[in-house]
Amino acid sequence: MGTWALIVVCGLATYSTRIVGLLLAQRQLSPLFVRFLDYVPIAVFAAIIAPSLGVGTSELYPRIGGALIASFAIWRTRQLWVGLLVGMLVFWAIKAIS
Amino acid sequence: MPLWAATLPFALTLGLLTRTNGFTVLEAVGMSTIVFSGGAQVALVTLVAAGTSPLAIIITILALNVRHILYGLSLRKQFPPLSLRQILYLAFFLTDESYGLTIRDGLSGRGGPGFYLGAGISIGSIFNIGTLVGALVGQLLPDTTRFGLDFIFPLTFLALLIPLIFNWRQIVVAITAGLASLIFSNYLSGGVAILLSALLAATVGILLEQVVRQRQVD
Repeated sequence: MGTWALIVVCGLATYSTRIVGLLLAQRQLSPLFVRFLDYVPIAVFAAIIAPSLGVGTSELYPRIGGALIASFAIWRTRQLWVGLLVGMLVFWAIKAIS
Repeated sequence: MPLWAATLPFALTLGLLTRTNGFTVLEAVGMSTIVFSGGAQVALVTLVAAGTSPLAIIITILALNVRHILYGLSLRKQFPPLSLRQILYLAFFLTDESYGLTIRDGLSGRGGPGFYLGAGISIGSIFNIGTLVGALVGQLLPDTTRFGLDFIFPLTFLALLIPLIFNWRQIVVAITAGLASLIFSNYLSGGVAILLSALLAATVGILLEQVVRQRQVD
């Protein structure tokens, strides 16, 4: 399969996953399932974050420290850029002293 | 748009990766336009370079992107009923970032299809520009992982996660998902691990609700 054909097929595969959820969302769903969906974004984001926190690598402390202090900063300010800035600064600081 | 801070370094890195793995500049940008999924594209480029069969690549990409189904379902709270035509073009812009921004905007009662589309187009533009620049000046760029700039990735999702949390059950769900994902990612590809962890943790959330309700009845 050529590179362009593979790109197009992978694009279609990705697009199909994007359509299915929005299509299913047009149907009437049970209240229990809707409450379940309320937890989904929280669970997905946490599941995406965890493997990037450096568990089992030499960057465990910079990453965990940066993530914890950034979480506090985001909680207080509700600003994305504050979280990025504080997180990166703490990450570099811990890396520099360790 | 604040999420550019996360999208741009990612797109630059992706551009660099396509270049070093033998993709042309046109293929790199074409891929960012057609596939428009950072995680899937990193997998695609890496697997092509490793000589993986096309079928295995497509299955990996499907698994990585099953989370889009959950995103689409959860947006139903904020979106009015949509026509098929609306679904077909709105679906194209469904990414981690546009979804996250729309959910966050929904906390203040907004976050409708218009906001979502604006976020999607904005992220799509910067994603393609970043890929182009990354692919063009690829060899001149320093290794972004050397400065730990890839740490922006979890920080971005942290900034999407924290504002969603209001009670202890949600904290338990987040911790469960994180721990499950750490364990599952040792054995499964990234997309499947995230999907399973999310389903497990959301189920834990529902079970906790039931336990609390039982206690109140007793």
